[in-house]
Amino acid sequence: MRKFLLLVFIVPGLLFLTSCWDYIEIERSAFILGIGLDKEGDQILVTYQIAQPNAYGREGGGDVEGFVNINITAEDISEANIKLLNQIDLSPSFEHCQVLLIGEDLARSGLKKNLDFFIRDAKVRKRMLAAVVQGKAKEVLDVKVKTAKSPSLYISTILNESSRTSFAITSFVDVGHIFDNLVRNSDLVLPKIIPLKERIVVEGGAAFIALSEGGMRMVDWLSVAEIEGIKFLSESAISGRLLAKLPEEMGGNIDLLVFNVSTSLVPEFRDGALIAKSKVHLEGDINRMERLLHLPKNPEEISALEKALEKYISRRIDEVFTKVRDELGVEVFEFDRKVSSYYPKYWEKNKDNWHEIFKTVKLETDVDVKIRRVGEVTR
Amino acid sequence: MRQQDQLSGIQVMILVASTILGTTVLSLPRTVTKEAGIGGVVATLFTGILTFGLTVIITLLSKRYPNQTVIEYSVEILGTIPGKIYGAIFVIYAIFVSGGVIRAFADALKIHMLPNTPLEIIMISMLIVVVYAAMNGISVLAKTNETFYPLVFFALLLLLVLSLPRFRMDEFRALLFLDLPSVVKAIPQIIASYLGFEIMFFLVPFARKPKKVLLYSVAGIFITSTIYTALVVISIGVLGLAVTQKLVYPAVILAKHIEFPGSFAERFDIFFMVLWILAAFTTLESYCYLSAFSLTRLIGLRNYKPFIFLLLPVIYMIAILPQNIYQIEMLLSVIGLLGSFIVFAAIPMFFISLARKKGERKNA
Amino acid sequence: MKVIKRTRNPKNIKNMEKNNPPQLKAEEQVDLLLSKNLEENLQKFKAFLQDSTDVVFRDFKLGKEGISCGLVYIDGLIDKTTVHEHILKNMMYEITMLENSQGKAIDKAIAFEAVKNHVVSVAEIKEVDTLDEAMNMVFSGEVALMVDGFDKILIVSARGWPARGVTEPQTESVVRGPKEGFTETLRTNTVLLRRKCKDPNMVIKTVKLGRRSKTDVAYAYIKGITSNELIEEVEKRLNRIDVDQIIDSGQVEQFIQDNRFSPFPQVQVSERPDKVAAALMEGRVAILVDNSPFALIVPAGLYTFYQSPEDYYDRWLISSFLRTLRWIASIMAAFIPTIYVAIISFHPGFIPTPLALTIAASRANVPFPSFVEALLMELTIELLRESGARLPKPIGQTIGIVGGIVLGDAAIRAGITGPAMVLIVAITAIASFVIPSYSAAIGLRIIRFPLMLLGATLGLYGVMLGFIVINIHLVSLKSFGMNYMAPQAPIIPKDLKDFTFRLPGSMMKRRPIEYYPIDIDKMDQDPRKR
Repeated sequence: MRKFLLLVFIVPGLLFLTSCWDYIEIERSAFILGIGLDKEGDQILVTYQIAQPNAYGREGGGDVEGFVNINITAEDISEANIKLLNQIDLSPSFEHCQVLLIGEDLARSGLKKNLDFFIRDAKVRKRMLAAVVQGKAKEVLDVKVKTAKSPSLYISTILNESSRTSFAITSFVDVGHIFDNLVRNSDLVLPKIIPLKERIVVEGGAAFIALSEGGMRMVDWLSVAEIEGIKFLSESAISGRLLAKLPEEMGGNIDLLVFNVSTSLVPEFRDGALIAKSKVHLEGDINRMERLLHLPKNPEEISALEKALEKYISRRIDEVFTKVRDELGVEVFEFDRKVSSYYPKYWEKNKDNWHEIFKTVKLETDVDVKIRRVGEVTR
Repeated sequence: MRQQDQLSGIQVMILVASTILGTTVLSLPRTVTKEAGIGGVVATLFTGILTFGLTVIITLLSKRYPNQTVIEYSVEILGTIPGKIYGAIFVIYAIFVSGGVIRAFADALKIHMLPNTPLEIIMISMLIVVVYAAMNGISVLAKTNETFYPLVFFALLLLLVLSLPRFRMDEFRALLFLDLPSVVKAIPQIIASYLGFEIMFFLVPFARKPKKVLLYSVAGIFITSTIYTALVVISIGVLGLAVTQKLVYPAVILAKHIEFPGSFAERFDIFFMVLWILAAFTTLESYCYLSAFSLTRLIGLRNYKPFIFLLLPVIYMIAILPQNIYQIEMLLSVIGLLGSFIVFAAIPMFFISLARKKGERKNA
Repeated sequence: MKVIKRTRNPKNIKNMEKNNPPQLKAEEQVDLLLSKNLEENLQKFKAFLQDSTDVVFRDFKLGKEGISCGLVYIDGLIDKTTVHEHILKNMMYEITMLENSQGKAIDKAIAFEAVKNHVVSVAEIKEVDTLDEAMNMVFSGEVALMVDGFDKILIVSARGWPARGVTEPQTESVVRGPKEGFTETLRTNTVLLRRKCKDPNMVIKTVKLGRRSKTDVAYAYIKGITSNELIEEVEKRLNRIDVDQIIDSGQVEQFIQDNRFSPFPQVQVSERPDKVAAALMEGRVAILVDNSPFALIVPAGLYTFYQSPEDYYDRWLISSFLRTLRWIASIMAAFIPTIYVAIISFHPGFIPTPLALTIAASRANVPFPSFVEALLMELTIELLRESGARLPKPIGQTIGIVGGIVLGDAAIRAGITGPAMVLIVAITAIASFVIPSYSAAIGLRIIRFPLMLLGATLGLYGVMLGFIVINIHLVSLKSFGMNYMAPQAPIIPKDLKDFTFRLPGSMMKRRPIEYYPIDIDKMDQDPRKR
């Protein structure tokens, strides 16, 4: 028995010595940090940003570039991946891919066949973030940023971290969110990226409409102010700074450091019409007032300040909602998800006409602002 | 058997729980919600209660024959031919489960962790380890489960807890508008995931305190159904119902979206899958052992060890039978059917046994 | 005395008898029973012992009548003072005082009894009547005293050989706690044990193992705590040993252990009497082998190798922390190299991007695959370790430092290895030193290599398979009937208190169940006080 068991352990040992199929030395892997997709005629231009490990070693630090960009023109992303194998001597790995950047022209013409790969492939990092570039994605990936080793990492850090602390940056959208929206045929907002000479700016967004045949297409840009409103409506605001314009005697331009936001968007049927009820509850500290060292003198003044802020925010939300609904015709607030959970039967019947129905939806806002602290200065 | 080699209560509980928790946990949210939508949550609960009841019946039935396994007392209850047929179905079922589970395991592993390694190598290497374990007897089986199950449980717990920050209650409103038919439709598929408690048919003869076995076996089921329900709920709450219905392995995708606190590692799904290998192993171990053991008892012999080697090629052939992922699912539903038959047959067996004993007492 | 050799091959016996006659001719002619004649008895002794020059034969006369007496002893094994003062002097001089007080000379007929009862003032005295026994005694350091006219021999205990004093144990030094260690003399060791536990129920029995070495092996247990099954099993296994020579307890260990093929030890070894005494109190059996300062304790579960006696002398928070550290260290010692190789070669997505790129950068100039690199470095560390153990103390330390730092640095500069790998290997080595028990640490060191192979071929899946196999093995191992992995498998909740943590002493009121002790309570045993 013992001899037999020994045999049982030697034979597999021999099996394993034949080859290791998945063994890839780490330095023989090309870690793709970011992918850029641009339209080029009928084909797409794929830019792969591949990491250069030498920049990360302690000796080669400073002068070596942290990345190398390879541009490949192909029919779609899958073909580009295959062409990539001809062009680098390393084995491509998508496991560290930070961002997926889509050029404006490709976004406007529609994304259908190029998204499938990222969702289906098991080895693609699913927390990869997507964004739209004003211009060509290739340009963004070429920017030699100073504070990070590669633009991909730079962008992904901004989107991950700063979107939590600023209302001007859309909350990040990763592959999972895209999949979610595609499956539910829902419209979506992606962050906007603007390449500059040595910097990359992430602000504002792009509204995408879901195509009935699958896929999505960009409709238009959204400004910073609009993004602010959208964040409040779609329950993705976390914290940030609110710049509000108030009348002179109340302090002029006021800067509120908001640290606690809770929003809700609830659908309701009233007299056969669909209403979106938005409730926003904000808590913040006054961070800056235009009138130097002006302070609210009494509780009534604070209340008045709060009311003014509430009106301001309410107005902003209204504006955004109207613009998005009437001009752009997209519903980017995840309102469809709400309707489908509150009124599933209605949703089942009408989900194919969602865009028409949305045009008739009215908005009701209820904003509540609480000012907690006024900074270090007191009366 | 020496007293210390017999199964303690905790061992019974963990054996039941870890035999159930196997490879189906990865795709559970999808199988549950595919037909029933949001009602899948309720269906999972229902099935949990159903299996709870079945476990109780099976345990009570087995307690009435404390020195026999089901292979033997089924003959007593049903008569020689029906009893032997039942035993044969059990053996076939155990063999199929072994093959199916190892194939499902290898497939999931291949897609996520070892894409270029041949499927055969993954399966053979696991089979060798499983055989080594099964050869050592039920007490070693129980002890390895005791070591591994807490780790698996911990991994699942982490998965659920770390996903909570992204949990959204929205989609659960639809529960208010539930309709029962869709829930009931989903139950047959869910039972396949809950199968594993039929190991109770075999454990009573080995237990140290046969009288207390009931408490521990239902504790095992309770743990598992709680985890399953929690997994389904969190999967729907984090990924959304529509996405859950479309993903092959929702639990793994759930893991892929988790960010380690402090970012000291990137992919939680690798950590999770590594511990899930243990879950698959414990399930396989139990079923391989069961298949050899039940076959031995069916034929009437005592030493089950040679039969493990005899059944190895059969298990392997069943494992390589399915050609693609859809056929694997078909195999799993066949297994579900066989298993359901086996466990539901315990109900009539129980009542017949009650009636018989009463009859005997009357006659005596 | 015939030393009979059993061989399986009957053909050999004839050849052997031709080439090596099993005995000296002289011995064959000796009748092993003693005679009443002193000269004959002495001749019997000389027939066996005349070739050795350290055997002393002394004849002298006893008393007025001049009864012939003879002494046989081995020079060096006996304490000369005892022999001179208490035996020879008494028998040659003091006896005259006795005879004077009695008024007559010692009667020849009762000389032997008189010597035994009135003359030799030594505490331990025995009578034997075969040559065999007498010779065994002489070689154990006793003096054989013969009186003419009697066929009995008086064995006077006069042991006194050169022995190392009781010093701090080399391999198990502690910061806090007693600093006594066992020595090579069995009696000293049993004394040290008795000092730690004065319970009259502590039984110490002795057997002689080794046909030629006739080594005394003592086993101790506490009657009333230790389970009878365990005692029987120990006796059975000890008596099964049939070898020529037992020099160290390690040989005994290898004969009584349950599984020869396992890399894990199934018998606990200790140089510290306090550890042994504590083990006895748990219901275990201690085996002390003469000439070996290492005592064996059976049964031994895995967790016993992670216990240091300090754990009980320090406070529980500290001990729990240190113990958990040991467990983590032992897992690290076996798994870190393989996990590292598996992760960077199969699943680089697991590590954060900056780290992955830094490691890739550090590996840029290394010609070998990381698996080969790991293997090379691990082998080098093992070489360093072994060589450090052989060198004399002062040089050993230096070589350790020089070897470690300089070699590692030189290897990196030469491009043979990268800094990450050196770090990994160093951490593994340090982790393996954390384990208190040398034999357990060795086991883990050995396991490292097959695990590395598994990790390099199948990635983390292979590592897991290795983990599973090791676990199955550990769990199926038994040590004298005790489950090796208890209380973790099977889970015995009440005993988990002393497994990874060491909960406060007031919470540990019972002895661990896995030894099946008869008397289970340790604390609060007086029912009236509860």
